[in-house]
Amino acid sequence: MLIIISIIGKFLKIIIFFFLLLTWFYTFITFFDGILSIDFLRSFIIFITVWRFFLSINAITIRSLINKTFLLITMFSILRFLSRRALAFYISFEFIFIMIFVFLIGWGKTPERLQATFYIFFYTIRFSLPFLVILISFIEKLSIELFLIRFFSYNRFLVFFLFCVFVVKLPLFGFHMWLPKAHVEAPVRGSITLAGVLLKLGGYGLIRFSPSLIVAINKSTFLDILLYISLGGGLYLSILCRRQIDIKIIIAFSSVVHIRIVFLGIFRFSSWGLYGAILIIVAHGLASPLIFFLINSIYKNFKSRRLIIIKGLIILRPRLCIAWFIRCIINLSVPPFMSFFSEICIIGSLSILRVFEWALLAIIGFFTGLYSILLYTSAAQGNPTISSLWRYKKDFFIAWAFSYFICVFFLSSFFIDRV
Amino acid sequence: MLEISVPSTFLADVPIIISIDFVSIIFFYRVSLISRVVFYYRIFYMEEDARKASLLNKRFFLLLFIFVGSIIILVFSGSWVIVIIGWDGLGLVSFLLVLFYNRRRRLNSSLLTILINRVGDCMYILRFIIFFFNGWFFLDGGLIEPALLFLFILFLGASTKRAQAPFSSWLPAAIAAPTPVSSLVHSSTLVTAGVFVLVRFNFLIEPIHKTVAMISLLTILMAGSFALYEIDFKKVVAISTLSQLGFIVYAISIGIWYIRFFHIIFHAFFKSSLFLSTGNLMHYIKGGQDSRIFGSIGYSFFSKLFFTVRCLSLRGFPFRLGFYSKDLVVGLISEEKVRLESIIFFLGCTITIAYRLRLIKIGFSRFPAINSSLELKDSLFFYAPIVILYISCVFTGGLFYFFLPLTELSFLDCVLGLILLILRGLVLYSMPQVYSILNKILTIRFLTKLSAPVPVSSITKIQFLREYTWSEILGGGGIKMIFEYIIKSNKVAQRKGFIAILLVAGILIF
Repeated sequence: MLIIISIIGKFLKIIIFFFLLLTWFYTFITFFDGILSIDFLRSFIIFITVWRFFLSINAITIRSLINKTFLLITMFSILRFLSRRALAFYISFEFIFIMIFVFLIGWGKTPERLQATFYIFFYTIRFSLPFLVILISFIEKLSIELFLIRFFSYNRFLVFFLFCVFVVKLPLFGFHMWLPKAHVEAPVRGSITLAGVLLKLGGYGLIRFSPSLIVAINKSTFLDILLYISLGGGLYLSILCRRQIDIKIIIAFSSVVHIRIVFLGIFRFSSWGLYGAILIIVAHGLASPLIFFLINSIYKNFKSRRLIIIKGLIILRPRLCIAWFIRCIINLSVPPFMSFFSEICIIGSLSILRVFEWALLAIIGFFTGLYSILLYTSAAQGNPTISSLWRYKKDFFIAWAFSYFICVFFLSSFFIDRV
Repeated sequence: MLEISVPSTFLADVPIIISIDFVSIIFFYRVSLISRVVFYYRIFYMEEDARKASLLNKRFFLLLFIFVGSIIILVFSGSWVIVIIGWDGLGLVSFLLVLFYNRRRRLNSSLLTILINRVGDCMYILRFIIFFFNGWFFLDGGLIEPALLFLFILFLGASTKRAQAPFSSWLPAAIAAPTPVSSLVHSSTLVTAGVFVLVRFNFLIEPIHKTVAMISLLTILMAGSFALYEIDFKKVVAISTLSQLGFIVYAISIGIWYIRFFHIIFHAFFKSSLFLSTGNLMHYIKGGQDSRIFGSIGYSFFSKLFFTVRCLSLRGFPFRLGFYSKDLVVGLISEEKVRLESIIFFLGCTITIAYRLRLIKIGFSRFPAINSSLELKDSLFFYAPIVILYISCVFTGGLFYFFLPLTELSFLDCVLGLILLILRGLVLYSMPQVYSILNKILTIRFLTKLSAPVPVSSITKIQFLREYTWSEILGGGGIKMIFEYIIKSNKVAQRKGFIAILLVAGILIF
């Protein structure tokens, strides 16, 4: 027990140190005139990135090549969030996907994995090349900071491509097919990276470019269509989740359902919605790596990710089961967690809608609850399919899970204070 | 009213209010007393099942503790932000408590419980749209004309927790929980949370009083007809909660919420003690729940005595606990002019008395299924909680009477009492013939079918082949298919000499 506490203490110290350092940057170096800069939003997203890094290096020990790519991913994701020039942003933005490509393909060569790599590559590259074209066409204006350019006062046609390059990475419903495939085929570190960093990329970009986007698509039918895509897609995917058999696919779809709210929040163009979107990005970035961590620790024992095989967790590992329960109910938007506050911010910022949309929101909420609870019960209850001996008797992951939970809890209170 | 303003720049208008007034203090007193007694009873209960497994015991204690903690948060809440913390906590922890033992039947009933509560939570989150739109969080001050839609959402959301007419199927299912838990659920925590919100914010639902009255009367009738037909002992006790809650909500709908508030408290006392003594009785017959095997009055005499006395107080026998609150309401309604609503209300009252009598008649007048020599040794934790609650049932009614606002203690009119008695007899003796029809139409079994298998089967009708759906066909899979088709057709064209034919055709055309 003492060992666990000391380990938690060490890592918390490191993380708090990073956090303080970043806020210090924020207070003193806002007018830093260079390639990189830092502010409030960036400091939080970088905090998530670093946190995810420490979580995932404890998840599994792997080969050196993968280790190197993993370090590169972390470095470039930090660089990406810090950068304020167009070229640095673009290069660090796209380099991560190349690294993910290496990361996936280096892990094995089954046809499904090949398909997953092609999916992730082509879905993202299809829209990032037009983004490069946009950047080149504005090349004489790029000497100042990237996010200050009002692109669409010049050309409203470009809105679609700039929009899509981030929406693919969110991902919005319709652009999401690469996500479940990549999650299924990726190792645990890859999944944690995908959930913790890559999905934040789209949200970050949309928040940064929202002053540009507001000119082009405010009060247009395009926005209404997107709203309905978001709502209907949420409903469709939350019903789809109920029918899945692989835990990782459920988590992938559920993160699409969860992150859909970010989209709703940003494109209401209100301050409540914007802050709700930031909150939900942070909440999702803290919570979804945790579930992949827990899935990994379950997988090591059951040697499967099928729902019919993983049974009786509450008999085998009651303490792990508590962490599993807490993680499952974070999706439900339950009060003490951050996801609740972010969700009510965004739902409040939707202001008044029609009754049909209210009903849609309520039904999505219900089905989200349904699959989250079924995910908990199907893993926790029932007769265990393996004997009670666990091969990996490290309580380390439990300690991690708990410290993680405490951090989520702590940060939520911080956010109410600060934001 | 104590307001804690959080120093924040952004969420400035979210107040965190803790209200301390007579409602919350009395509620807190009641919750703490009952939960203390139930915690005593827990020691006896867990000794049987898990003497060796201390982890189970610990988990049970923790869950009960969180359960009671969240109702206390709810009780002291003054704004909706605080209400939802307690509200969600109650729903989730009750789910875990029903699921406490790893059995299939318990799993089903706990899923029914949590999913119906989840409907209420969804309604609750939707309410925040109107909060933000109107700019108020505290409903005490700054109240603008609330929209009718909001009221319906508020009412429906609250009725999931208190198991009103469309959502009442989870309450009989939730008796799969351990006995201490169900005594807490039915008396002071989960079910009364829904009523407490209505009591606290009763001024809000004034425009929809008609609907509230209709739904509560429907609930009373439904619960009564179900209980008249049921032989499961614990289930009848659970169903009686439903009809009592219907009573309370009906009284709120005619505008006398303060008397009903006291009835909630009294009801909590005798309902918790009823459940605990039911647990004792079940303990004698090794956990059986069929009321026909409970044996005659001679076996386990004191438990049955306590049970019967509490049934009396639930019925509103003079100078018992239920009398002080129930008699007032019935008297007030009888003074009004006769309407259809009040007739249905009196019918509901008589049904309540009838199924109580039937339960005692069946339960306590037959031969026992198990020999009395198997009676287990009684411990202190077996009897002490029930005796404490018994004393509170008998004596606290008079004490609470002084807290009531100025009302006269009205005995029922003599004629009305006679009518009630005659109706009671009629209900008892025409029971199987008349009520089998009512039972089929109105019962909770119908609602259970509606709420559980229909949505589940409709979901299973939607077939998906894993993640490959039409969104895949619109995305990468579709493009792959198109390319494959082009390549294939190209191959066919080259092999069969279509190109030559096309060339010839082209030359002929031009």
